[in-house]
Amino acid sequence: MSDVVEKTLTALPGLFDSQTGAAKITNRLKQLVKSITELTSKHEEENLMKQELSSMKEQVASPNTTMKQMKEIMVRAMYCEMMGYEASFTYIHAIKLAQQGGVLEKRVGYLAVSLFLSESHELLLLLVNTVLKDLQSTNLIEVCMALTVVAQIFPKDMIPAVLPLVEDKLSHPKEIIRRKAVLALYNFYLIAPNQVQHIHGKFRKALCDKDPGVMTSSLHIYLQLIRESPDDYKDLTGSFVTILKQVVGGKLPIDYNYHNVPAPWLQIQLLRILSLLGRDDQSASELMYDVLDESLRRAEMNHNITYAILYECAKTIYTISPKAELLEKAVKCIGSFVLSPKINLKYLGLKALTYVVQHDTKLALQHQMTIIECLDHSDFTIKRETLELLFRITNAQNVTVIVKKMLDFLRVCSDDHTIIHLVGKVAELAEKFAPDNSWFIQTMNDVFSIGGDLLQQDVVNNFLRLLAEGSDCKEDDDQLRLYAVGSYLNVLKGNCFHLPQHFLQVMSWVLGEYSHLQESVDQREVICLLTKLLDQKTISSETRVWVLFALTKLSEDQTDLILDLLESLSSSQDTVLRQQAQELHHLSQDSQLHEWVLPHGAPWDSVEVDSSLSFLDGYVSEALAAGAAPYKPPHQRQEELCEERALSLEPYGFNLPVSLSSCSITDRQSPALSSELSGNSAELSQKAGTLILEGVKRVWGKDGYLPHKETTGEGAQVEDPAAALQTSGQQGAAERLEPPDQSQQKEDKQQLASSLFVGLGAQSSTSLLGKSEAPPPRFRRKPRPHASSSSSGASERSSDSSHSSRSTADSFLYGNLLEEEPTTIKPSSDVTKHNHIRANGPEQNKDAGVAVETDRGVNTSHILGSDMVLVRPNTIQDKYPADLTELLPADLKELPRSDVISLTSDPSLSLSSCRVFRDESLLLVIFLSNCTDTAITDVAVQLTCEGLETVSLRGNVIECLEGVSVCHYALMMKDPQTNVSFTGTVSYQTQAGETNSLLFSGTLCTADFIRPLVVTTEEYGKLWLSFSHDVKQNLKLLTDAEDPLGATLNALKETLQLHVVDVIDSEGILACSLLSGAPCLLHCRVNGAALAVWLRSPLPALPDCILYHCQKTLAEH
Amino acid sequence: MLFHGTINTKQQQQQLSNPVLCSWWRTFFWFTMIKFLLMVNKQGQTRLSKYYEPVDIGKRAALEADVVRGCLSRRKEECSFVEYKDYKLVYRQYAALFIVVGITENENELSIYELMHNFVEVLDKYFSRVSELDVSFTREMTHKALNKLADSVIYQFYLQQSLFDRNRIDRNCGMSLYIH
Repeated sequence: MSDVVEKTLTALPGLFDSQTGAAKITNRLKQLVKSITELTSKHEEENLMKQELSSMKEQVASPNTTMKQMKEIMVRAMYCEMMGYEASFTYIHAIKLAQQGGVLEKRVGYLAVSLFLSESHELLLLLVNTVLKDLQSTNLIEVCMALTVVAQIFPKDMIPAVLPLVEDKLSHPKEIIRRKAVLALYNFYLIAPNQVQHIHGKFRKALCDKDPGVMTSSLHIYLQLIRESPDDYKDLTGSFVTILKQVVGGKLPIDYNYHNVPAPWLQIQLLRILSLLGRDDQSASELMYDVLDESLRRAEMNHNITYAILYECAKTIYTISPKAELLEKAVKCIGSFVLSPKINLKYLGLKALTYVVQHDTKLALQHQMTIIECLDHSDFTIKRETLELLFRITNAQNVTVIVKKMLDFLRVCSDDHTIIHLVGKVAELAEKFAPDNSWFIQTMNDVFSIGGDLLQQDVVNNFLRLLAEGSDCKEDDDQLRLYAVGSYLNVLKGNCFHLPQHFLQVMSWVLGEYSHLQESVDQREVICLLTKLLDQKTISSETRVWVLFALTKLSEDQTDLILDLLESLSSSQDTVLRQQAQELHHLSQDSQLHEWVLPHGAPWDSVEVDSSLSFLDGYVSEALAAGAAPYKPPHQRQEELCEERALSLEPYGFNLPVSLSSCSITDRQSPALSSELSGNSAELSQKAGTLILEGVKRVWGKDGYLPHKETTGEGAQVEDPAAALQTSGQQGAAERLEPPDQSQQKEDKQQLASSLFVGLGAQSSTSLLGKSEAPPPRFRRKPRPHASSSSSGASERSSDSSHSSRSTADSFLYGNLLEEEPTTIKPSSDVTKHNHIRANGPEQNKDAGVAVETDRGVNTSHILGSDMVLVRPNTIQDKYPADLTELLPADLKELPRSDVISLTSDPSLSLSSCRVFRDESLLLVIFLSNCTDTAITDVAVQLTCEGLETVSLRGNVIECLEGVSVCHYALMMKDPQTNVSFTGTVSYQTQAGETNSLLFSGTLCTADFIRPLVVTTEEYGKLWLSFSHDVKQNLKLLTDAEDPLGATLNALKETLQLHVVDVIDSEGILACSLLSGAPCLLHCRVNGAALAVWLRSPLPALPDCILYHCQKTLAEH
Repeated sequence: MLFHGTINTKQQQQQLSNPVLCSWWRTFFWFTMIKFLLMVNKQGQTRLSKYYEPVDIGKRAALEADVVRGCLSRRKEECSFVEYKDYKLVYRQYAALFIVVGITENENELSIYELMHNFVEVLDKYFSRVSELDVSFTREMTHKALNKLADSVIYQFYLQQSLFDRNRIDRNCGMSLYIH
């Protein structure tokens, strides 16, 4: 066989050389390239390309074009696409070329396809057949080409079609084929991990392949696999170590050397794998120490590539369980990088240092002078990396210097991306380590003015929340607020037309809320300043709204000042402004109402919000009765619009999945109301989801507040003796050696060093290996009962949705605002609803809660609306109940549920959970048990689960916990995923006054979110035809049972909640649906000793997920 | 190793969109990925481009212009790495030709820097004129690379697979290299 190949290979060049067409083709492209190079303007280029494209279009359309010519056209089309001119008319011809051409044309065709098409391109489906044919070809070159294209791009849905063929190739005698097959499987793994699940064993074989190339390719897969679940591959640690040992020892053929370094990129790959395996694992790390040591030793050549290996080594050494000897070597290595005159190496050194100081901040001390020099380096990249390093070593003592350096850098920086990034970091540092109020406010002022309008909304919201929520000590808070007010008044008195919008918004909010604290300032003056702002043309309408809100809060008894303003704004084009002006007008006439709606200095958390908007139910049902259309959230409207526009390919009279899901949900309630409520909640959660995206990395918040003024107060004064000593020593030496002017400069640097690195030395007394703990932040937020992330962007929304003139939409807008940013409660013309929102006393609150409760009891579907009313959880007095499930609310007891599992516990609190399978959602029930004799107070549970939607929650805030309490979350899965992990925290206060928090996590799988779908065989048939996404696979059949098919189906039914629709002879059909309503149909057929399963669903990912669980179930059976 | 084009499984995308998880990923996992490879001359004309993450064709020109501007503005004594949006750019200049690779933050810059050189060495071996490296040459090379090395043997096969075994490429792909 291989002889034949060799012959083909040697014969080919001759073949190609004799081609006369080659010269011609070359000329054509050459001409094009040449003429483009000679052009002088963009305009000429466009003209030329247009000509070229139209001539190509003509050529491809002509029936006389030969394959050879087509190949030439493809090459030109690639060139055009590279220049940025779309040549989409050639795509189909590229596929045709791959299909019909000879070896050479095929190659060009495949290349063109892989360059032109993206993974989701519909034309890609046409390639599948060609690939199948070529994979079965006896010509090795064709097989190679097919595998290459499969490794680059392949339609996800078609993987099962080629998978067996590719699998076969894993045992091909030619190593290049084996290698390409591994890469193809790697690509499959990336696009559809579930479908290659069953061949993990073959990956192991590839890892042990005698050809190093195949082994290397398999490492790509392993890196990915180990990233996802390092624990499953611990047993391979030894193998990876052995491989690395062999590579480092030069056991690979000399071909693999690069500048005399054996397989450097392979070494780097292996080091990465080892660091993932060795993280937090002493025993695995121990296996690695030797080989790491050897790597360090061997890589002592002076070449860039060895530095790259050393960098990776050092990183690995600091990631795995530490060993003093190696750490020392790694540090030495990093040190030599940082000190290197080679700029690239210096950069790498800084980067490595940034990584290692996370583990041991005092390492930065050794290089303090170099770091100072880098800070003033002419190279932007180096400066940037140095700031990153400084950010990591910031503590309460050096924060002022570091923040100053960062701000200096920001002032001269012009790159938007860098500004956004760094400004967020400055804000984070300021919040965490601020030494005093004035500094904090001043720094935040800088942040707002430098960040400008690029600033992320999160920074603004965090800052405002910090001011609003305050700490436990009212005096401190008021001082901070006072200072802010004073500072902003100063700013506003100056020239403020250049100030960014975010800054103006912050200022107007603070002034509106807190200017009454400043007794020396006349409220009238503040009002005047704000009114002046409104006159400016440069400020955006969103800012105007903020200013107007502030005026509304301030204007009590001072109506004379704003009458003119009201006059002009009442006729404004902007509906929000106009409405705001109306409200202001209304309130200014009724001071009692004003006092009641906007009381001075009311703490923000005293505001009760009924976000389910139940007070509107009456209004809504009236409107519906009068024939109004039910409310649809924007995304739903959008979707429907799209659907209308698109060509309907489904048979008439059959519109799934919408009808199916709605009929299953709505038969117990009025459909309009449900769509309204659930729609609203969906919108909310979606909004929250998108906002999280913009989040600045935030480490703080959510836990309780710890006043620790003493620490920071002392810290600022106390200089670290070690640093001081070192400084004076070095300084002395410097003065002796340097000429006076230079020594002056040096002295400055020394001073800077001592201020930058102060506080780091203090930790050096701790163990070398000890990971330093971050000091507690100065400002901390109080726990919030609900997902805090949703609070951002309230103002954005106010402008977004405000244009809708529909009254319902407006009310929703209010609902959102009230919930999202309670501090900016706005009065409304519809005064009656405040009766609901602001209950006067706790009794009424409770009543409201109960009202919602009973309402829910009658009409279960109300739960779909987001239930944010603080309902007192069902606290049960039993101390240690034997069976936690006894504690479930009565309406849940009947439902099917999982076993109770323990989540986590600490000395005072233990958590367990249980899943309750409700028809319309999955209930995650969390049992909070107080293990102590004393009560625990202020318990707040927070749950985060990416990929899941929380439709309602109950009992997540408990004022006082004795015994056991139940908190439950109703969850929905939006996009099917095989497994979803959730994490959460419980924060609470013990009797002693300590604030603790307890982390928990767990996983949920698709099976929790699917429910049996009851359909008839006929309906099933119709459904089947209407779904486009399908997956086929052979599964294990439980052959030992009497009726293999029945036994297998039953096993699936029991574990996965499927509905067996029908069983006919050797075939069975099953159906289920995801909670959101998307159905999935399974068709099973006994095929010898296997069960051929065919899944179809309207959702692309659902069949994969379900297949995965089927596979798992049967494997475990 | 690195080049699986995009993080395109839904799950990963979702995980990335969450800042908490995102920082978690950043700390715990190193995304080692190359987003694109460009060969551009000093005039800013693209000679070769390969994107491992789908980029809209309309946006490519702007991205390429940005990238070239970023690299051209650098001085010789400055380091070969620049930040560009979410990417890090690693560039290397050969006479009038720039090779630029866009990578993620967690990739090892120096190894990519050397990888480029390896790439050029391979090119050098196949095109005897690669050492001239003037503008006319780069045109010739691009043209050859696209026209003759049909399967982009060098850059795709090479980068995508065994990054290190230069000589094996000779052996395995020799055939296609004789075509011209």
